[in-house]
Amino acid sequence: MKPPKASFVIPCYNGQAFLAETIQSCLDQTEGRIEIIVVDDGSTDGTADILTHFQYLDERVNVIRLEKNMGRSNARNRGIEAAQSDIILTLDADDICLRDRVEKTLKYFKKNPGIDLMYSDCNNVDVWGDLIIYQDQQGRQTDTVPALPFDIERLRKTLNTYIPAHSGLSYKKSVFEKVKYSGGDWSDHCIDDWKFELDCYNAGFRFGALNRVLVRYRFIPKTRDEEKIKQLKEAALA
Amino acid sequence: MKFSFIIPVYKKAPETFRNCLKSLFNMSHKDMEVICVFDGPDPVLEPIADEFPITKKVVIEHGGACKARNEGAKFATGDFLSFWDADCFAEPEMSAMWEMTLKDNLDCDFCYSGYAWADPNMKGFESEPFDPFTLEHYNYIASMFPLAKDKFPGWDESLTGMQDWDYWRRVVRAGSKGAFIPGFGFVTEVPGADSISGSKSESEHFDKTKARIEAVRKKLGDPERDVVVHGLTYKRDTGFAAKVLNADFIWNPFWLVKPYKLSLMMGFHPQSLDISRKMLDRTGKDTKRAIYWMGMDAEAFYTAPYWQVKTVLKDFDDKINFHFCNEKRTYDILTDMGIFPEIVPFPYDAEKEGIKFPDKFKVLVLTDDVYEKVIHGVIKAMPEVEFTRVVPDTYYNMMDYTVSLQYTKNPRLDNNSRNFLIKGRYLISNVDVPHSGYLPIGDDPVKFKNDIINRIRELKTENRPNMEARNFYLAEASPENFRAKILSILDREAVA
Repeated sequence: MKPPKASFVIPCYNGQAFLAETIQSCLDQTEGRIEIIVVDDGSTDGTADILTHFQYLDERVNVIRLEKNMGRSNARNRGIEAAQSDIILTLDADDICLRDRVEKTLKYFKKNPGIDLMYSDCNNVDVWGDLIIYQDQQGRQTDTVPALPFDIERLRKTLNTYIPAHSGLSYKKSVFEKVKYSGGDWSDHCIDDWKFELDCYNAGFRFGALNRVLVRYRFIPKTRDEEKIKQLKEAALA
Repeated sequence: MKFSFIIPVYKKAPETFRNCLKSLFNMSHKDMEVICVFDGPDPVLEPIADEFPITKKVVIEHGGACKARNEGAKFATGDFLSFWDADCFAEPEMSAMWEMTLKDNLDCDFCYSGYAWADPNMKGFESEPFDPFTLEHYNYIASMFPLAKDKFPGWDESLTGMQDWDYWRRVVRAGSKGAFIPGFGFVTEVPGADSISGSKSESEHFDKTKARIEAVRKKLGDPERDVVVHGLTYKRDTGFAAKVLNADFIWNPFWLVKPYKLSLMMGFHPQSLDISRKMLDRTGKDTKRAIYWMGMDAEAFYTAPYWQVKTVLKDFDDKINFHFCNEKRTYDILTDMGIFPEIVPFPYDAEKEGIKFPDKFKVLVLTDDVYEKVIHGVIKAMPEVEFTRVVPDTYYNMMDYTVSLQYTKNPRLDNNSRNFLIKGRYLISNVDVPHSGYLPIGDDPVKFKNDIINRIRELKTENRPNMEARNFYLAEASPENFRAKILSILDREAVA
């Protein structure tokens, strides 16, 4: 088998409800030379059964099993370490890639050699996979969350408003050699992706935006400890 | 395999007879012979028979179709005899299909299918799977179908009608089995008013039918029964209820020819009101009339406009004395409409084979637009499990499955699901009754989805029969219980 051109890294903890759809969307890519690394972060539900099924079905699916749950950042780091290609595509275990995600991403990096991290537009979908429609600033009905040009001030102020979803982020493996995902509180409060993006900026890597929908982000309302997140953010920006 | 077609010919339009012979010689299966028996000399039709390579032409003194058939059978040399009619037109593949079926079913001495009418506006006769019990009560096999020559019992020349019913009943009583071919094997002309099967008016038709049925019943020594079960849309269930009650079983109002003490109507669909009315009118004056409501029918009434329901029910009010239903949802709906039925669970007919638990774990999915997304999500989330969705007009055997996932907007434990539980299988559903795997959709859709997935996975790992549900429903839906409850109204006063 030829070496893969891009690697999906999917951390998964008790994600049986949507994992199969996510993996299937990666297998359905128009660019076939990919690898899919799923990190089973000590799941206790049927995740293992689903992964066994896909490993048997397709050799491009690689599974890393962690004995106990160590948090999302750790799972991501372990997965990216194992990646064989130069392009890493992040994906959460409940999100869905559109079919041309890998193709468009590779084309983008080829065209823009100076860019290290690339993010794209995304759609938000609900639990059942239906597009969420909302009004944009001009008052039009739209299902697309646009990828605005990179602005560090906006990143500092808010969480991920300019990067629609961390699932839509792809980067060169050279980025990961310098910057890792932070664990601990960052991971527990699900803002390790924000921290990673900030760290990448501080390390001097360049961001680029592609105005094309490449992923569908599953929007499931969760309760978050906003107070704690604010504290963490302030500590990081200080 | 050689087929002998024996055609009694009497007073037919020449073109019809020519087309009939043409269709026979046009068939792809060529190993056959055609014997034409002219029921009295016929200068017009005899030359037409000579146009074709028929094997034998017999001319007898006029004596009716049965005599002609018996005469013709004497000359037959084929393996199977088919008593063809001169106004029937075979499909090109008909006898090839017969041969295939008979070779596939070596224990069967005959095979049969439905047939279409030459009038394209009429719905063809579809016939039904072979069952000796139902054949005792009405005829669904036409005379044209092939019977092994050594089993030929001869035609009864004394009968004026329904000779085919008498013929096939004698064949089956002698121990022969039939193979049912779904679909239409041939096309037949609609009987004219002056032919054997036709009538000038409905009352004349009824009187004629009555005399003929009684003649056959008397001849074959059928017992006199007090109870009759009739149903239009639910033939299989009706037949089974009749078996359990040891009752007569009728689905065509013309066959309801004698008064009974109790008539039980299975199902009452708005679409078949006219025939239901006819059925009820034909029962005797002192007959106690009961209806067993099927869930689908009650549902159809429940969703119909209010005035329609009112009108219909008022019309039937004095015709129906007792109401029964199968389960709780039907009961609730009917009570809401002002009908107060008694819940008598429909008897199971799943017991006789015992439990044959499937080797492979498969899940059957029954759902509707309300739950479509939820269930679709579950199916997509479990690629390692085999799901089968029930789509209209597809065949599936419920007993091949271990679990049935049933989410519909009208949750009801129907007969099939109960039989499924009696066979030791599992349900996961939104039906709130014992052992139905009740799992309602709550506030948290992800939790709901995970619950279903976990339950399926749990059942897959265990993979053993559901004895609790089996024992529960074996007791609740026993045929003895059904029989006792229904027959108890014979001793009760009519409430209407």
